Amino acid sequence: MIRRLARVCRVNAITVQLASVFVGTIAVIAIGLTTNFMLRDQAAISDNHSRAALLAVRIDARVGDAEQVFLDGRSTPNASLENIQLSPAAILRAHSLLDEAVDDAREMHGLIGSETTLQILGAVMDLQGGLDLYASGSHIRTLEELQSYARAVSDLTARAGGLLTGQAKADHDGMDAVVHLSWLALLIAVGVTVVLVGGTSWVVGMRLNHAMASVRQENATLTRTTAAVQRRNEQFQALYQVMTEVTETLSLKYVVQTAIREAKRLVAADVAILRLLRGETLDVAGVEADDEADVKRFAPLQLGAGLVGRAAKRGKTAILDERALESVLDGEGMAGARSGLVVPLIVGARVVGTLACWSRQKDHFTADDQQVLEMMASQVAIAVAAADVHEASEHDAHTDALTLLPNRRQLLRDTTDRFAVEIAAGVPVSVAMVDIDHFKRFNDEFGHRTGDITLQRVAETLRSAIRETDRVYRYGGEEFTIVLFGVDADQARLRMEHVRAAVERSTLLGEDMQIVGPVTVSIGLASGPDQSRDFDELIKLADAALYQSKWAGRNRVTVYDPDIVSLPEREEALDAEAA
Amino acid sequence: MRRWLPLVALVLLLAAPACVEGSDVAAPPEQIAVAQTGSDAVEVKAHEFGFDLGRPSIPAGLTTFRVRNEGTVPHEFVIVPFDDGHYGAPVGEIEPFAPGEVRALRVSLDPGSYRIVCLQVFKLPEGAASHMALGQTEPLKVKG
Repeated sequence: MIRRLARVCRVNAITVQLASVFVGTIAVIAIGLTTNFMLRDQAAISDNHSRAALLAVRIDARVGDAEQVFLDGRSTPNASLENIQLSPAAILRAHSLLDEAVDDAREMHGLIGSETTLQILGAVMDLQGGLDLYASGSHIRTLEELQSYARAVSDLTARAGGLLTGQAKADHDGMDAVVHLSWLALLIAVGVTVVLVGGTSWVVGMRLNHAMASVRQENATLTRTTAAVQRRNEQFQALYQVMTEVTETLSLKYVVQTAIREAKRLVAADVAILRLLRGETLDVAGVEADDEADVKRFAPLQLGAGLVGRAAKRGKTAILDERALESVLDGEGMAGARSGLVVPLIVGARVVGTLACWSRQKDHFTADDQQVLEMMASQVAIAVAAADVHEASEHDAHTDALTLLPNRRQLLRDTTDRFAVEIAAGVPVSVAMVDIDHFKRFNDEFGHRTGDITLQRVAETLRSAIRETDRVYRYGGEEFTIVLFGVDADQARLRMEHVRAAVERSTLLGEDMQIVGPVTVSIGLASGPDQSRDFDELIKLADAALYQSKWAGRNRVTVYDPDIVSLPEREEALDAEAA
Repeated sequence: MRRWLPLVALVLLLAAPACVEGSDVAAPPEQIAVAQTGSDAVEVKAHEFGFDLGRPSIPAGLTTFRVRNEGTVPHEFVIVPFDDGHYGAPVGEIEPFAPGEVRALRVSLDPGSYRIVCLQVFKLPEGAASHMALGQTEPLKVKG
């Protein structure tokens, strides 16, 4: 019952409230009107009884006066009339009194209409009739009888008066009772209305509170959902951007930089680091961090070591909480990290590296972050692998396989643009052509294998003898080219002298570790922009100077001098040596 | 105009009894001589303290009551309308008359409830009382 009532209240609380107010108002009006009508009726009745009581008193008084007339008549008999003891004046007076009494009795009976008032009316009329008979001399009524009858009527009237007065008082009490009852009814109606309105207001208030709480909760949920969707949208936009960027380039460096920059932004990390697997080592390929100290902190990791190493080895993503981070290795994670996310970079079934994000916030990374980063990692892994392969092939195409020095193609690539820029800026550039003396003899005497070894040893000596800013290339055969940017002819000559001496000092071991020496080189040198502003031309001039060195007895450095040597002569000298 | 005279006379002739009867209905109550009463009169016997009505129910209209005092004290015959416990003003009355006497009253009564009462008053040692209070009252039904 209570549950049903509660359900009804929940469903129709406002209706009940309005109905309560309506019913309460109607009840108050009804009680007021009913009370008014009751009081009016009761007042009319009370007025009738009061008036009747007054009339009874008057009747009693007049009948009493008439009785007194009769008594007076008995005491003073009229001698002139034998059968009439009352004087005509007394009779008239008594008649007049009884006329008034009859009128009063009629009015009283008209007001009340009860048996008592009827008896009084009848009695008074009988008394008057008796007086008329007495006056007419019919002898039916004696004066004593009239007086006695008047006494009886007076008694009857007096008793009726008492009764009517009592009734008037009862009426008054009844009116008081009606008033009290009406007040009580009004109080009950108002009380019930107040309770119903209050109760329904409470129910409505509770429902409103509940509804408001639901709305707030839904609003909060909506806000969270909107924020999540917005973040997700941003993540996908960034993801799309990074996918586009990394798949459009074959530059490993660019792929790595793009990947860590966008990964850091995607998951709002403090640090993003990309490692590439080289053999069994996860080398640091790039770090994106706000703090430079974080960048320097990271070090290479062994595959399977630490949290990152294990994630790479298993090929599975790892979300790292604060407790897991207690076991992080030095150089593996960010200082003060409280959460981490490590995603392996996988191509096919091969792990090529890891992408790790670190945050100083506890439980920072969500399942969404993991999903987005994994999607990104799959693309980055492919791009990394592609760039890696590309750079390897590029390296192979521009590297001499025997000496591992950059070849002539690389020489042209390195110098084509830069040479023009440096020369235009007035920066000196020197080119040295280096040729192994009597190389043919090594091939002939010790075999081609020893010839190859000779080339490798000389190449190593050249690489280690030049300065860091200089570059050495295998030009072809037993000929090498050294390019010295920002170095004029005099300085270049000194440096080349140093190189020549280094080769001369080196000990060359053959295939069976026997000493096959000595090995020397002849060097020709030319410098721009003094001698030429064209690189190819400078190569030719250096080559001519090399010829001069050969011609002068080998194992020496010669700076190109146009007055000493001419190109055709150089060609002939080289041909003679080859022969 | 003269052509209508016989018709007017006929209408007046027919209307005359109705007018006479109507005047009977409107006539005030009247005490008449017993000799004037017929066999249709309602016989009433008065005694201490009550009435014996020959017919408790009578038709509306002019009615003659023939009342005989069979008691030992004077009695009167009063007809009072009585409706829902409320008594109206008397509509017909025979003044108190002596024991053994017979009186007649002709009165026109409308349909309704009435009571036949005697309002003579006694002076008793404990106080005055009417004959009606002692039980001398009888209902009378007048049907339409």
